[in-house]
Order: sequence, then C-alpha cells, then structure tokens
Amino acid sequence: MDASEAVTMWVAEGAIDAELADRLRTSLASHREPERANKLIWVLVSIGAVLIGGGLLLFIASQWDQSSPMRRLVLLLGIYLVVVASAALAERSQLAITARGLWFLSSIAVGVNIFLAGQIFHLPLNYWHGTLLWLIATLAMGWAAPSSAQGWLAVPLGILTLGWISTPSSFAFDQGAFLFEPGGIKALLPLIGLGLVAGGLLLDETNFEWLTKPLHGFGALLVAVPVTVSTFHPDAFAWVFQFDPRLFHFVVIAGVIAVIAVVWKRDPRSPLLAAFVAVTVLLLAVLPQVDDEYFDFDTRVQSASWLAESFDTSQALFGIYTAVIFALGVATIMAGQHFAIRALVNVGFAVVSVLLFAVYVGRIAGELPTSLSVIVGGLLLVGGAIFLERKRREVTAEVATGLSS
Amino acid sequence: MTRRHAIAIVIALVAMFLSLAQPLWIRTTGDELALALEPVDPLSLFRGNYVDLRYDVDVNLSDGTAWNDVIYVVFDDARPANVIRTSSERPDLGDGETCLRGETRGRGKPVFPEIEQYFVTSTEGRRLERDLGNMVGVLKTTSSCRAILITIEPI
Repeated sequence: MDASEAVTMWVAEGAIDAELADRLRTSLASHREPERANKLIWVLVSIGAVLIGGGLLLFIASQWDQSSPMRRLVLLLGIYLVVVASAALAERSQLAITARGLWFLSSIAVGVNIFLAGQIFHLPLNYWHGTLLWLIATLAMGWAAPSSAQGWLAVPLGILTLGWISTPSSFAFDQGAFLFEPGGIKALLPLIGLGLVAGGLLLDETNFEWLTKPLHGFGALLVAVPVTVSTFHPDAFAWVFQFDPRLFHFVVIAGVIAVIAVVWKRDPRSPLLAAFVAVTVLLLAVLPQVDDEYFDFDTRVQSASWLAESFDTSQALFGIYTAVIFALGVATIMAGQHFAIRALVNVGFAVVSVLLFAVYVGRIAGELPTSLSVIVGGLLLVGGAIFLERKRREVTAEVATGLSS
Repeated sequence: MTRRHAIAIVIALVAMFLSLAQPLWIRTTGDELALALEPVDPLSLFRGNYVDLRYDVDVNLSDGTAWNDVIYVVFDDARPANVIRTSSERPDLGDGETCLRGETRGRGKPVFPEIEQYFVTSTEGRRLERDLGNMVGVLKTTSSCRAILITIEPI
C-alpha cells in the first residue's frame, strides 16, 4: 500500500478529515516529483554508463588484434584513467548522480581490464583470481562512492569467485560448472545464501550499508531456489544436495557459520535470529546425508546415500520433507509479518506458491483424467494466484504500517 | 575527488597490476617446456575466439581414480616433452626436468586447467583447427609446477 492509498483508507475510516487528506496529498505530490526526476536521471545515467562501457569494449575489440601486448595494456589503463577522471570531474561539477554512474562504470572497467589482461596471458576462462581482484576493487569503490549498483556487482562476483575456486577445470561450459557439478558449491548455495543475509544484517548502518540490499536479495534467492527445487522430486533433492566435499567446502561452511554466529551473538534472544540459526543447523544436518553419487567399478553398481535413496523409495518420507519446507515458507511469511521485513514476506509467498503448484503438477494432476486435470489446474492457478497476491498485499501493507508506526 | 575516491582508485590500480603479477613472474623466471597437443575442435561459438587445448601426455590413470585430485607430472626437456614420472605430492626436480600441476578426471589422462585456453583471432583459430595435431604448446613453468601458456607452434 502506498502513501496515497493509506490516506484514502484513513479518510474512509474517519481517522482524518478531507481537508487534512488534501494537505497530505499535496505534500506527497510535491515530494514525489523531485524523487521521480532523480530516478529518471539515475536510469538515464545507468543506461549511458552501460552504453559507454559497450562502446569502450567495441573500441578495444577493434584495436585488439592489431595491438602488441604492451599497447593493449596501455590502452586498458588509459581507458580506466579516462573514466575515473570523468567521474572526478562530474563530482566536482556537483553532478552527483552522473558521478555515481561514472564511478560505477569505473568498477566495470576494472573487471574488463583484468579479464582482457588475462586474455593476453591466455589465463583460463574461470580465472578466480580475476574475479577476486575485481571484487576487492568494487568493494573499495563502493566504500568511496556508495551505491547499491556497486553492491549488485560485488555480490555475484563473490559468489562467482567461490564457484570458480571450487571447479577450476576448463571443460565445455565450465564457467557455470560450479552450479551443476557435485564438486562445485551447488549443495552449499542455501548455506551461502544464509551467510549473505547474515552479512547484510552485520553491515547495516556501517560504511558498507550499500551492500545490504544486494546481500539480502541474493541471499534470499540462494536459499529459496535450491530448497524449493529440492522438493520437486526425490531425484531433484539428490541432485541439489549431491556433494563431493573437500577442504575448500569446509572452509566456506566455517565462514558462513562464523558470520551467522556473530549476528546471533549481537541479539541471542531474537526469535528471528534463533529461527535463522535453526534453518542453518537443518541445512548443515542434511549435507552429510547426501554425499556424492558414485559408480563402484568393482561391483558395477551406482550408489547414492541413504537419505536420497530413502526419499526415492518412500513417498511418505519425501512428503514429510516437502511439508517441512512448506512450513518453513509459511514461517518465513509469519516472521516477515511479525518483524516487519517485507522481503521475508515476498520470499515466503514465492516459496509457498511454487510449492503448491509443484505439488499439484507432480502429485495430484496425474491422478485425474487429463481434461479435468488441465481445467482444475487452470482454475487453481488463477484462483490461487489471486488469493496469494491479495494475501501478500495485505501482509506487506501490514508490514509497511508496522514500519511507519 | 575525495580521499576515499583516491584510495579506491589506488586499490583498483593495484588490483589490475596484481592480475598481471603472477603471469609476468612465471613468464620471466620460468623454465620452458614444449608439450604435444591433441587435435580438438578449437573454436567455441559461445565463448569467443579461443582454442580449447588438450595435451598429449603419456599418462594413463587407472580405473577408480577420483575426480579433481591434484596430480604433478614431471617432464624431460625434449620437444615435445616426455613424461618421466607422476606424483600426488609436489616433486623435487632434477636437471632438465620441469613439472606441471594437473587434475585427475577419473581414468585416462589428467587435465591442466591453467593452460588449456589459447586466445586467438578467428583467422588464426581456423588455421590451428587444421594443424593442431602437429603442434606443441610452449609453456613456462616454475619449480612449484605453476605454468603459463606462451604460444603454440609447429613441432
């Protein structure tokens, strides 16, 4: 519910009179225009930054083949310095939004430079030192010129760095192998997501506050997507949590636990943080039960761990697992409502909606005649979507009211 | 420009120079090694103009070998180089010996992720596609078995 809707609601409830409502609406309108203008400028500057970045890439590409390695390095450095000088000039001319866009462009230019330099030396495509150095430079620039755009760049760079460390090989489409291979970080994604959310809580009201939104956004995505997918089918569960652990993975797990422990220590009595820790423990408990599926060359038997096998053989057991995840989704909505965190409400609703749809498609539709299953499915989808969206709006409006009071 | 901006720019410049440090170090101080290449389809539509390389090393790992284990392969100084021995620990090198750090992929040959991409123009890529079986990858390697690919050229 936005402020104008709230004013209308208060008039209807008799909480304020028509005159006050008019004054409030006028005040809102006067504040909204500059805000809209700022947003428009920011959008235009962002598009401009991307266009300039693309143009720079095209310029570099046109010069690249004919240039010696030394000329290439000078070209890259020169372009970076031009971008930085433009940003400094914009800052000096009080063009704050343009300067912010150009500082962001300078962060993109660092990555372009690092990877084109890597090309000169034939470094592998999944060159994790490159993403790590790029991350450090982006964090530094975000600290100097705070903007959530720097955060939306920094967080995936961190995830990519972890992924590329976990799978350093160079087979086809290997840059995304860490999301598919058991040796990658696939099974750890929900834990890493919790770590990101915890990191966001830690950075609130610090010099790195610009990172909190991206950390929460990516964190929620990394927790919700794999966990929801794991409920689709026992094979999906086995695939999501299939895991070939090495020392690197234990270091990542220890890092995540450390961040969550620090957040919990700040406020050990908070039920939200207690729930957060409980989910972490649950995910940690699942990991050892689903080790890497392997082929035994002596017995010629393909085997999987007991939990994946048990889910495969017992529908009831897998149903319990699905119910636990469903309950977590509902609990997330309730926690979001209680603690006035809109993102939790949205993530919880997304998980619950997808789970309900998956349960219908996977376990109910198959039992009905085809025509009936399609019609009922459509009706459920439309009706369910309307119901869930209404509930979500109600709950997020309550959250907004809670935040403002 | 604030002091923070200046610090951030210095960090970015250091990051860009650091990305060059290791390859430059290996290039200037490493020992040369020429390894035979296997003919493979070199151009990838989706990943730009580079050649995916596989090295024709005479190592055949047995059934039951794990994936992603580190393996060190020691070579002589012939052209193309021959395998002298392999080990799971970093080896001590004798005169004329060089080594590479690779990874196991089950049975068969190990892979060398650090040196398996060679960036070229599309014209050169097409030429390489025909000739790769008769070429060697010229590398520089350190005593700690890190390597960088310098060029590929005829045997």
